[in-house]
Amino acid sequence: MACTDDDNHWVTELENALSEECSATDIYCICKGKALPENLRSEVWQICLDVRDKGNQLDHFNEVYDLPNQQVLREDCTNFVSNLGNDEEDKLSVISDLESILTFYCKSRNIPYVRSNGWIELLLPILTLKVPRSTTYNLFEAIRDTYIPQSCSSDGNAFHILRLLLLYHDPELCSFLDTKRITPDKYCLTWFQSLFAATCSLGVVINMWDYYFQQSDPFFIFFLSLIMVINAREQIISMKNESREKIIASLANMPCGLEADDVSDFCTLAQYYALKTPVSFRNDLMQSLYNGRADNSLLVSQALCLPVSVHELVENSAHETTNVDAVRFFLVDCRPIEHYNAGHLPTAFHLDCNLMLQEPNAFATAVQGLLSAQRQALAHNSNAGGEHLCFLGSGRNDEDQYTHMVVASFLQKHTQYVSLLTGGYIAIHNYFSDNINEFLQDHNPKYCIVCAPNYIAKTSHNNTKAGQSSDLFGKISAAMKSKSAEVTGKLMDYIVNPNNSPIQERHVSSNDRIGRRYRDVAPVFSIDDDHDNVAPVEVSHQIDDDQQELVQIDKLVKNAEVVDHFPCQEVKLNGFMYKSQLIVTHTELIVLREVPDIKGAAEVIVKRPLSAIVKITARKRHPELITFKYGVPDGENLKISDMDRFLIPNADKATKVVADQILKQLKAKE
Amino acid sequence: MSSSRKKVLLKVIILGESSVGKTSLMNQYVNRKFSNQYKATIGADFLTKEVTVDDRTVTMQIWDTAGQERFQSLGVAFYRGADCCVLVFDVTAPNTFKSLDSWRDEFLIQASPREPENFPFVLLGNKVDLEPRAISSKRAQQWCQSKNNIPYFETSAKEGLNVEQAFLAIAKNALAQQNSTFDLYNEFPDQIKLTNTQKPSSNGDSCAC
Repeated sequence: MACTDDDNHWVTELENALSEECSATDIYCICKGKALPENLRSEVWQICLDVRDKGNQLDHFNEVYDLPNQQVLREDCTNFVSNLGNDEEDKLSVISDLESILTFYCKSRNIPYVRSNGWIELLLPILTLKVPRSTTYNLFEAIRDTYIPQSCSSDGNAFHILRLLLLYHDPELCSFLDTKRITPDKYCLTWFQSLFAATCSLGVVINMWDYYFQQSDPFFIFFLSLIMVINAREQIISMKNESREKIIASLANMPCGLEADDVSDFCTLAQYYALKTPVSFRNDLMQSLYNGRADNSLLVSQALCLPVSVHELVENSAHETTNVDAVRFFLVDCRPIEHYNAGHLPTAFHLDCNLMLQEPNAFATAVQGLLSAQRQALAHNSNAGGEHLCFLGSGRNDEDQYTHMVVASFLQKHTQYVSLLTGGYIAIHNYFSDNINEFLQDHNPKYCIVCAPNYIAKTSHNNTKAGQSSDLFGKISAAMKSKSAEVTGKLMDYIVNPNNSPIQERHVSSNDRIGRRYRDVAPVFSIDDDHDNVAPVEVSHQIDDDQQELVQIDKLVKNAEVVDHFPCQEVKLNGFMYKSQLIVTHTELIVLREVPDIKGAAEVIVKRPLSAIVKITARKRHPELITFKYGVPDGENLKISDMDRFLIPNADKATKVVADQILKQLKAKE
Repeated sequence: MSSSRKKVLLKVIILGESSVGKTSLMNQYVNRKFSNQYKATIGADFLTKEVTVDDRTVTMQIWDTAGQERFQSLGVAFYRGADCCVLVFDVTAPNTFKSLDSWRDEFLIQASPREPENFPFVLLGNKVDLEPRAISSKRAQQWCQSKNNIPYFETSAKEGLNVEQAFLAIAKNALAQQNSTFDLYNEFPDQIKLTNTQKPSSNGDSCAC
C-alpha cells in the first residue's frame, strides 16, 4: 500500500505544482524523469518546452495551400494517416490538421517540405495529446527548434559527433563500423529527425519524450543513439561477414525492439554515458548544431577523437568530485621533452611522441610506464589521475603530427576514453595568460614556445646576466627537484614488475664502508654537497665553479676520474624521459641531464657512490632498460632506498663497466 | 661497433584511396603477413624496416595513412619531411586509379618539397591477383610517363608478388632524394647519438679517495 501511496504522492505534488506557476525545473524535481500521467502530459510538455505563452501562431496562416510540392505533402499526410487505423471521420480532420500545420511551418520558416524528413512522424505523438491545433503547432515548432539537430543532412555534424562519441566509448565497435564504411547517418538519420518517433512504437516514444523534455538536454539524443548502437554490439560484430546494407538495416531497426517498460532503463543508461563523457564539445557545437550555423564542420568531421577544451580540463582537475563515475582526466603531454621542461600543467604526464618514431621499443616501455602511473594515480585518488586520457600537443601543426600519431596508436589499440585537448599547449598558455607561473610548472619563458620569441627580444642585450641571477635560488630548486625525483623513484618500486632478469646482483657485504653513504638514503645532489661527508671528486669542483650548475659534457668526460660515459635517457616513473649522460667514475655514478638548446651542456642530476649500488637489473623484453638500485643491507635482506632507471643504447657495455668498477672498488678495500 | 657510420633514416609515405591495400603492402613487406580481412586504418600507422641499399644499411620508416576521407586533414601533416611518396591504386577498381592525380597534387601542396618536379614518387598497382582487371599496365605506365617517369610496379600484397622489389626501388629513390637535398631531418630532435666522441683517458689510477 505504501508503494501506491508513494506513487500517488508525486502525482498529487505535480498536480499542485501545475495549478500554481511552476517551471520545468520544478517538474523535473517532482517527476524525476518518470512517465507522466496521461491527463497531465500535455500541460507538462507545454511547460517543459516553454510554449504556454506562445499564442496562436496559426492566426497568421492564410489557409492557402500552394507550396511547390503541396501535392507530395498531401499524399504523405494521407498515406501516413491511413495507416493509423482511425475512423474515417477522424482521418479527415487529422489529415487536414497535419497538412495545415506543415504548410504553415514551411511558409513561416521559409523552408521546403522534403519527403521523409521526419516531420509527420514527429507530429504524431503530439497529436495524441488532443490539444488545439495551435498548441500542436507550437509544440512541434519547439521540439524541432530545441531537440532536432539542424545539421541533420547526410554529412551533418550531428553524425560526426555521434561517431566521435562511439569512438570514445567503444573504439572497437567504431573501428568495425568504419571498416564497413557505415557512417552514423546511414542508420540513425531517422532517429535524429523524428526524435525516435519514426522507429519506436507510440507508447515508447511518449514515455521517452516524457523523460526527454523533463531532462531538457538537447544532447540527450546522442547518448540515446549511442546506447542503441552499443547495445547492439554483439549482434553487429557477429554480422562481420554480412553485407554493409544488411548491417545498416539491422542497426537502423534497433529502436523498434524497444518496449515501453525498457524506456526508463534505457534513458538511465544514456544518462550514465552522458556523465562519463567530457562536456566541452557541447558548448563548442551547440551553436552549429541547433542553430544551423556550421562553422565548425571541418573540425568535427575530421577530428581524430573527441575534442576537450582547456576550460574543461582545467576545471576538471581543479575540483574534487565525489561522483566516482564523473569524468576525471589523466593528462598526457606529448610534446618534445624540451617543450615539456619549459612549462607544463602540474598534472601532466609526459610521453615523448618523438620516441615513437625513433625508438619504438622505448616508446612501448614509456607507454607501459605511463599506464602504470595512471593506475597508480587512480589507486591513490590523486587529482592527476583519471580513467579518461586527454592528450595534449603543442598546438602547432608541425609538431602535432607526432602527437596525432601517438593518439592514433592508442585508438588502434582500442583504448577507451581518448580525447585530445583543443589548441594544445598554446591554448593552455593563452588561457592562463597573466598567471602563467602560478598555474604552469617549470615554466621557463626562455624556452617556452609561446614566450620565447618575446623573451629573447626582451633580454637579448643582457642575456648573460639573466642567466646568472638564478644562482642561489636555482641551486635550491635543483635540490628540490632531485628530491622529488627521489620520491618518484620510490613510487616506482611499487609499480614496477619485479620480474626482472638480473644481469648483475651484488649483495652488500659487511666490509662495505657504510660511512660513505649519505646516512640511510642514497645521495641526492644538494647545495651543501661540499660540507657533507663525501670526499668530492674533482669533477664536483668543476661543477661548483660553474654558476649555473651546468657542466660541459665533453670537458667533464676528459677528466681523469671518469672511467667511461654513456649517452642514455633517464626514465621516470611517469614516463618522462630525459636525454642524459651516465658518467662512471672510479667511485661514483653521475647522472647528467642534457640541457636542451645548449649544445654540450648538462645539469648534474644526481651522484651515486658506486658502493651504494646493490642491484643492477634489466628487463628481458627491453634489454636496454637498466635499473640501478641503491640501498643498504637490512638484516638478511636488502633495503632498497632509491633507484634510477635508464634506457641505455649501449646497455651491455655500460652495465659491465659499472660492475667492473664496483668489483675493483671492493678489491681495493679488502 | 663502428663509430663513423651515420644512421640513415628514410621517411616513406603511402597514399591512396581507402581499401587499395596500403596497410597490407606495408605489412607484407615488413612482417611478411597478409590478412584477407580489411580493416580501416585509424589516423595513421607506421612500421620501420632496415634495408641494405648499395651496401648501405638504411632504416626505412614507412608511414601508412588512412585512405578514408575523414582522416585526410590529419594526414596532410604527416606528409612533411617525406623522402619518397608511394601512390597505390587497386587494379580492379577504376576510381582508385582516377584519384591518383589528386593524391599526388595534395601531397605536393602539403609536403612542399624543394623540387616538386623531381620529388620521387613510386606507383604501385596492387591486387593483381584479383580478376577482373580494370586498369591495364599500359594505362598505368602512360600515367607514370606523363608524370616525369614515375617507376611503376604491379604488386599483390596477398601473394607477396613484387612487394620486395617495389620497396627496394622506393628505398633507392628515397635515398637518392635524401642525398641530393640538404638535411631534411632538422625538424627531428637529435637522435640518440651513438657517439664515442672522446675516449676517456685510461690512466685512472689517480683516484682521489
